[in-house]
Amino acid sequence: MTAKELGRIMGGRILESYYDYAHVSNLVYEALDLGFECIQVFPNMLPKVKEVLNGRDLEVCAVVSYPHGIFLPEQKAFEIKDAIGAGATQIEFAVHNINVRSGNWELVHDEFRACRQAAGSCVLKAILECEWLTDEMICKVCEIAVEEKIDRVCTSIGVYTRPDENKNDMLIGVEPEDVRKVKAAVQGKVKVVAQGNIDSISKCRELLGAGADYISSEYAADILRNWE
Amino acid sequence: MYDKDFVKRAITSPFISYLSEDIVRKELVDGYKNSVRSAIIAPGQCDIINEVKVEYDNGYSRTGMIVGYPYGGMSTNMKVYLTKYARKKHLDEIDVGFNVTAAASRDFDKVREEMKLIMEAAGGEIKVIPMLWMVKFPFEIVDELCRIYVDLGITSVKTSAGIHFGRMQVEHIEWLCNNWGDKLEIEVAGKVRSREIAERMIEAGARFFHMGSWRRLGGIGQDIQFDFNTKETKYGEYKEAE
Repeated sequence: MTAKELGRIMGGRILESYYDYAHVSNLVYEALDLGFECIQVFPNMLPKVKEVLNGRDLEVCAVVSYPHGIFLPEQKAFEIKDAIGAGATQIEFAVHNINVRSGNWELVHDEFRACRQAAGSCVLKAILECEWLTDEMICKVCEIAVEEKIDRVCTSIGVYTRPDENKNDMLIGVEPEDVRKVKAAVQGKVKVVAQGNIDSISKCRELLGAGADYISSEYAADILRNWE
Repeated sequence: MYDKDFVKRAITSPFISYLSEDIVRKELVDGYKNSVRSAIIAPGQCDIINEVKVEYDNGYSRTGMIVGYPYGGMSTNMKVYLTKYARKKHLDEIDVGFNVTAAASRDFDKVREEMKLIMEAAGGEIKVIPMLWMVKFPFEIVDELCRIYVDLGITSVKTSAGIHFGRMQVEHIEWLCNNWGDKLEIEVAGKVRSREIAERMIEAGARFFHMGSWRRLGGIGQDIQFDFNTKETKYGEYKEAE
């Protein structure tokens, strides 16, 4: 795969508390320069993105109900429509995983349906958070994603930490096994985005090897610039 | 400090993605039974907290909802919408993530404008408690945020979230209390994991603690633990690093 081909499936994201307007501008310029598939931003960054883009084409993904996902369907629908009105062309929503973990599948259906309706023809992605789910839960949520015509499922949120053996915090990232499980569950009917602390070329290669259709990373520009 | 007094300073918030409904309910019910200061939920959980309040109201514990928590990355429209929703549901308070991108860019007019609209939407009927992100921002930015909040009539602040590297330190509380303690009530949030540190923060001027480990630190039981192997969530022993 060439860097150009990788760029077409790569999303660049800045979803943390320490990013300012300059970082938002920089992300847009990197995306245009390196040919990212999309950028992922908070809804409050959309006006800045629009200003910097100044009419140029770029897929802009806004994250909604982020990062916890514990919202009612109508609340997610409101945020989706608001983000699209502000310039988002793709939407990524965090799934209500308390419903998933409680087996409230009808409510998960309602949620996905409401998001699909609100998103209209925009690319719609559901963040599964594989880190918290059993294999059975992953399968079931993916089935619902297929039924409710979600375009892509993302493996992880990428912001949570877990303690290592010394009780120091370490970021929870996506693993190739997560990608394989999700790929098997969607059976080719929904695209799979590997997402969650993808910080190196080798990690990127592993995840593509596991079958990821897209990659989303804070380090997208570094990965693409150093890709061989 | 007696355990009971410490628990009355605790704030519980069962909205993390690895919980299930039964644990959410147990956290809320036990919070009320043990008289925590507040129980904070996500926007999708207003009905359950109101049900629990009807059954277990103790005249002390408050109900609250997060708005734009923790990154403040939601649009102003969405934060105002959620504030109005919380008000409609008769909650006591909202914990608000301010526009972090604007603050990081030192665009304080934007931060102020948004917080003003949230205060207007709250209409004086629901207490607005914004965050500060003290573990990430320099004191210079925290200082300006406090100034904005006080100008707008806000009387309580939350120091950080729990989703980050780094922990709140006693020194953060000392600085905050020395500079704003006469105007702002301090709710500490941000990975406070020991009773000893919490009590030192109280001595430094902290009033309340928003924490997942309120049972353990309050001496009344074990906290929620997530097993990354089995993906089970249950109450269990917390082991500190050796």
